[in-house]
Amino acid sequence: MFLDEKTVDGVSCISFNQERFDAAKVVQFKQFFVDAVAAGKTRLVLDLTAVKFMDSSALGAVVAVLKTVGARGDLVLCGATGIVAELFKLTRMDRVFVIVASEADAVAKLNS
Amino acid sequence: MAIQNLNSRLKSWFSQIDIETKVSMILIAPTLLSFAVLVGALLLKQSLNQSTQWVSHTEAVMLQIADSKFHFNNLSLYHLRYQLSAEQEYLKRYDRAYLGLNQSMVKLTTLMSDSQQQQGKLETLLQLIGDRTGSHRKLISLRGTLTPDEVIKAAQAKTLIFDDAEILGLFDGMLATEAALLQSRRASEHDYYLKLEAALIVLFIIIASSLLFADRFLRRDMRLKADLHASLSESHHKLQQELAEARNTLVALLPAPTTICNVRFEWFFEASNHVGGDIMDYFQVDEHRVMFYAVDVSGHGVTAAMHAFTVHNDMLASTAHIAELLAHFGDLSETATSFLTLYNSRYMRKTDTGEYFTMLFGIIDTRTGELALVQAGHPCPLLMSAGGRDIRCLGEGGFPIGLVEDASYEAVQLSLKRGDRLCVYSDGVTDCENAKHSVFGQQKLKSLFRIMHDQALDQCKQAIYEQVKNWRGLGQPFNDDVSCLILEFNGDSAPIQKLERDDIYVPR
Repeated sequence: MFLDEKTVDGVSCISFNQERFDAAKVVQFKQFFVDAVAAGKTRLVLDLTAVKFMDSSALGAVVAVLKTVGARGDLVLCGATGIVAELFKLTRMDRVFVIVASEADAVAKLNS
Repeated sequence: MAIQNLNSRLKSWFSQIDIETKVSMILIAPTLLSFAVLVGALLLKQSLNQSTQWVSHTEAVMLQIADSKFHFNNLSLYHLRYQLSAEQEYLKRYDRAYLGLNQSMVKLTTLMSDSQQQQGKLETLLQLIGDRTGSHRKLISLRGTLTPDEVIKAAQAKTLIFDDAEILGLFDGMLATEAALLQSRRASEHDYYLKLEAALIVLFIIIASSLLFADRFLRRDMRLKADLHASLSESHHKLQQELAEARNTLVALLPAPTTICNVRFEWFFEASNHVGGDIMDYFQVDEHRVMFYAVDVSGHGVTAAMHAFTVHNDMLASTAHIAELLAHFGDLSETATSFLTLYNSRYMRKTDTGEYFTMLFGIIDTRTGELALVQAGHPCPLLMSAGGRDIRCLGEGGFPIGLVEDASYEAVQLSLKRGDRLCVYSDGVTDCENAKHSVFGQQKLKSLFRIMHDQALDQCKQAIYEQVKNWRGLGQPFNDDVSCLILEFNGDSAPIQKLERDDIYVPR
């Protein structure tokens, strides 16, 4: 599994642990969050620090996850740098998502 | 019914376990049976050994008896007879001597007076004869009271004399007993041999049939697998054919390089090996305005290709609508942004599969060179001023189409001069990886675009295409669609052409 999960101060922190985030991982990725929300997790952090490449399908999946979580909770992204940050900027997704620098900031944001 | 149920349940259970387990199961029963049969055979063998020992023992005893009989018959008896005849000879001689002595005694008695010494000798001789006769009687009296063993011993020691018929009868009885024993033991030995043979035949049949069954089973499994493989490769082949068909259809939709009014369009496009969703087109909207777009649908495969077809059709069908908007707003930027805002919400309503696409949309007023560009998540296009003096990236991004409801769009508006060139590309170009997983990148594209500024537009396009292809590696297919649209504004407003709708709508 390319996702790691831990709980920090009541917030579920999910980090992507591989460099490539592409179409091959999309289905599993979306299902992971559907399950998390079904399990009552409503405050979620997605840490993309490890990701060095993200394709359009992956971006679509992150947006789908936002829609899944959105109605019942909050999702904060962190660790987006380089090409990933540029992709979010190019597609204006930096305005759609709450994006912060680090996981600690994300947890603080959700707990504030 | 119950048996049928059990049978079908067994069958379904059997079909669920894997082939190795099945073969092990088939082979384990004969292995256990073989083991049992082997143990049985070993036990039989041991019994057989025992039996063989008994037989040889019996045979040895019989031999000994026969030997004794022979000995008795041929030697002991002879000796005994000889002894007996010797005794009789002695007795005769003593009798004769006795008779002689008697005659002498008569003579002597008659003479009476001759010699006292002669009388003493006679008495000693008489004593000897008496002893010899007693011994003979003793021997004869002993012979009826002996056991066979004693008889044999006595015969061997040559100490006794027997009646021949009695002794031989005794030996024959012993031989008959032993022969009966031998026969029964031989029979049991033969029985053991038969059992062993039967066990070995059963073992052979079990092993042979198990092996035949396992072989048949494996063959059946192999045949099934081969069939499955054949049908899979057929489906795969068919799928590949369909993908190729989709790819070809997509490529066939692309417009020919052309000049519309005074804008020259050139492009290159290469679909990825698994079909992407890049598409582009350009056409006249009204008498002097030309629109163009480049689209990259997210994901790959037939779904992406179908969305690309849809977008292509939507765009063609929207020409009249855009013309109306232009007439309404009288402004390129406003027309472009309101068109895309509307199109986005329409597309959002139409699709719920999560598919979206990035787009670079532009409208040029060919009279003035005014250009409005809307960047809907598509990579920033490159604008190069005539002569390559200045080159820059345009736009600051924007929402892709189909991702966010009620997204609003912004346009970049600028004025093209004669000879200005615009390069619109999909991320397949900049994200194209070489063998070392290093991407082609925007910088390389930018410098190449600049270097080729004094070449004809088709040369420029060709140079970029070749560089990207070389970067990927000769013969290596792209893993994403690679598309690039280059246009040049020549500044001279060409004579206004009569708009030929048929030219636009005829599928190319």
